[in-house]
Amino acid sequence: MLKNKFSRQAIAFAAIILASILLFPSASSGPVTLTWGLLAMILASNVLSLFTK
Amino acid sequence: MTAILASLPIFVILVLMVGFRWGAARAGAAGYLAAFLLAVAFFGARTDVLAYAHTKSLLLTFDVLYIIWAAFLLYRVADEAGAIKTIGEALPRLTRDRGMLAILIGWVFASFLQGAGGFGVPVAVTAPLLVGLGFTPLVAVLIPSIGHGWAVTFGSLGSSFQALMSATGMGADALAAFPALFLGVSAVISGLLVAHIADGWAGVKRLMAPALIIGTVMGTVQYLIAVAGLWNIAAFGGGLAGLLVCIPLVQWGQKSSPGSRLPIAGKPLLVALSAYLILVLLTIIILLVPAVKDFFGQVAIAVPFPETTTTLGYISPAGTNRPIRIFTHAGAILVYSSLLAFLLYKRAGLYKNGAAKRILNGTLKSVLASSLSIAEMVAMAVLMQQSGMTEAIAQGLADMVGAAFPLVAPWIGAVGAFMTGSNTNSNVVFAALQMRTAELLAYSVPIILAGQTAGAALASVAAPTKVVVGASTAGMAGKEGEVLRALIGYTVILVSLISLLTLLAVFIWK
Repeated sequence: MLKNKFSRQAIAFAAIILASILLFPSASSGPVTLTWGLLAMILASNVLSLFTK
Repeated sequence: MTAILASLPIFVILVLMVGFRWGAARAGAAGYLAAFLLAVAFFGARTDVLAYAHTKSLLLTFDVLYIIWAAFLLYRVADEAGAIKTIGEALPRLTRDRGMLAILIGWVFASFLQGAGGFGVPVAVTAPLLVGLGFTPLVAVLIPSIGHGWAVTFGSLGSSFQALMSATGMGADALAAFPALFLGVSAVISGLLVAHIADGWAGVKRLMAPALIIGTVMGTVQYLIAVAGLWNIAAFGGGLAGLLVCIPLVQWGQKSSPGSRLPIAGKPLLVALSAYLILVLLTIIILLVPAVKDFFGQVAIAVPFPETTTTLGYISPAGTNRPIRIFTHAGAILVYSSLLAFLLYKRAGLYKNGAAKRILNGTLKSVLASSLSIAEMVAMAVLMQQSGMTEAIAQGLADMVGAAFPLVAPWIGAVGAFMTGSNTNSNVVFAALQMRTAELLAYSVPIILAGQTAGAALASVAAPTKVVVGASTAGMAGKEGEVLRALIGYTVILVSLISLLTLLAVFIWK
């Protein structure tokens, strides 16, 4: 699935959106580790996009 | 030194897109990663700064993508029904004058298409038409590229202008007038440049009067619609007014002879235009009738953000984002229009089996890559803003260019559009920076932002990503460098004009 450019971009986009939604409640009242987990998810999505030719 | 460090993510995007010809999604990811690392390592962004920056960027991304997705949906609904083809085929029947055809198709019709759709469509649709009418492929790409730049900010149903508002938190009432004024003036100049590209100085001389009339009408109509609050259809209205004025003017300077003008079937043309007429009607009803606007405007996304501080002491004050009104948003009006137009075209028997699936698939495939790049670049820009990097660049720029800033601001927008291939992306990346620099130097923020977006609009047509699309549709694939070299001169003239207008405006409207 991840071999297809469209799928890779769709996954990266969806992961960025999902993590960004969850970051607000997480930063407001959640544990710091969860917030960093979500930030890591966004970073990983950008790395995926970076290597999608 | 801090300003140079802060501007690294922007340079990363510039070098990767222009130097290494990366796509916007890959380069945007690189720029975002650079911004994230710098924000944490050098600008003291704590966890809460990073987290809230991402939620703010999500809202901004949604605000912009809502229009882009819905605008492309409407374009696909019309295109699948053959509406764009019908309009395109009707125009060459009006005249056989070469210069006038360039004006009609490459300037007026391309601007109308930019108002209605954008996304590279004006050049992709009109360049092959011009080649078919006998223009060389290079000229066929140059004419619509230069012809539609003035309609970019308020085109694509206002997505670039929406980005300008979202990135600065300012409303249309404060921001619409100056870009509409600057771009209105450049509309006239664009028409003269199109006449020059098509037929040299002889063409400029011969077509001066119709170009001045049409350009003034298009620029004025765009201005009036934008300041009336209907900015999402301002370029569309300007382009449509241009088409209406153009029809009686097309035989300007020609001797009337049999066969110089062929008949046009009115009904198919009206049906073809109906998607956009529905859009105009709905926009007017929803945005201008207070009872309707209030009823539909009840649901809004407004998130209250707390104050954040970096370890270096940069404070982002507490506040709510600019409310996104889900059912009166320009994107919502486009969705309603798309649904109604789909039903109308279907009733007229213009769709083949499976049209709805093709429209949705085509929309999704076309907008995904640009959606990802916008999400990345918006996140980069907001992260830079929240961590004080934008402030550092603004301080550096203010110190470096000082009083010359009004002349420089449009070039910043232009470079942003050239590197990202998009007026929208340029506004996302640079609008907050331009606003802060204008504040530091005590210049009018709306005027500087007008310079930003107008410079970006006119330079976006020369962006390598757009040139590749234009060149491929006119049969010039592999010769993009030739197109780019020819485009640069005309683009420099137009952006220089915006620089001068910005300088003039800050002295007139202090």
